[in-house]
Amino acid sequence: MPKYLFLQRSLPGKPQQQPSPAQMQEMYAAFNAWKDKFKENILDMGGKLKPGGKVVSVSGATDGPFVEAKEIVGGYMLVSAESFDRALEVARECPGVIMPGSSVEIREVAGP
Amino acid sequence: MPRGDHAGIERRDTGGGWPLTGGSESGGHPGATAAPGLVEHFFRREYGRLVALLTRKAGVRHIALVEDAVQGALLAALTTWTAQGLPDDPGAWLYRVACNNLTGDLRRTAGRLRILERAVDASTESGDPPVPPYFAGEVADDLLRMLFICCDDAIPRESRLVLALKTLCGFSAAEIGLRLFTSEANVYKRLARARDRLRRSPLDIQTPPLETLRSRLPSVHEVLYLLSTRDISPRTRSRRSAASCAMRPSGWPRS
Repeated sequence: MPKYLFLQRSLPGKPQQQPSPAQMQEMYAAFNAWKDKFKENILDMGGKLKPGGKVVSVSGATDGPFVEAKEIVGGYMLVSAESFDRALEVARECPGVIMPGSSVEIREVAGP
Repeated sequence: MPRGDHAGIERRDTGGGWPLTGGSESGGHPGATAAPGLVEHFFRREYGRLVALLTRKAGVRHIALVEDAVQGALLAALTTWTAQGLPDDPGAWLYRVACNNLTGDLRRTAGRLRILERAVDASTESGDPPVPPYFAGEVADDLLRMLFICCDDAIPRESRLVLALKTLCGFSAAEIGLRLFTSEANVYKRLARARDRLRRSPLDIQTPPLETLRSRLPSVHEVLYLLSTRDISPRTRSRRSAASCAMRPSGWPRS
């Protein structure tokens, strides 16, 4: 089955409103429900990426992160799905991923 | 037992970590309130419990820092527990993280204060005169104590209920605004007034003396009454009163 890499991007420096405890309760439940629903698909929950880092090329290393189009990659996840549409469904139903100020790029991983 | 190995947790997520990258709208998944492994209203209840507990330890004047520390711990829990599952003792985990957040902030604040003092007047000793000790046993339950703090006479009456809803029940300003039929901005203003008064509390008083507690009883009754009758939920499915959320005072001081 093809593998897909999810790359989450968000506009840097834009402070998102913090969820209230009541909202966190809902998010926790919704997220667990999502995880359960797609447990066959989620290969690697991945995680949030720490800021900073370095960008290394043949000319040397510069301070990261690599910023293009004013957005920073904030996290990643690895998903296995029978089709791109299924991968899309996994992404769409993940709570809190596709929101104002945040998007997710879905790329199929080339395999043997 | 609290776990100690949380050095890797990123605190102060501005909106939850990946994949929970935000939470200003929770309307995407209505009805998903069943949280496996967590009791209903767990996050709100823990908010109230931890704010009351840490306010007692750190002092009422640091209530804003305490609230930040607890909020940060809940956010960390949200991202960590969804990724790695629940710890054996979620309450203890939260307490641990909130404590670490708070001590970090207090150290930073003390550092800033020291710099300020040095800049303004290096020679002046800034200590308050020593305050006689009070009996902590007069108010055993932290939540009850917090309720009495919310009913400080110097806090404007309209602000007391708002502060109680925020600190005891763990509601956000937006949620309070909806319940009290007022704007979020107005709620923030009332909270600021209340916190401002508390910030100017004397340093060493952890619990007000008995006479002060007695004098606040009418206000406490009023706030409790208001909390228990405000059962209007904007997304009503169960008409649960706000008072049932975090407040289960174990006893009452004799009046």
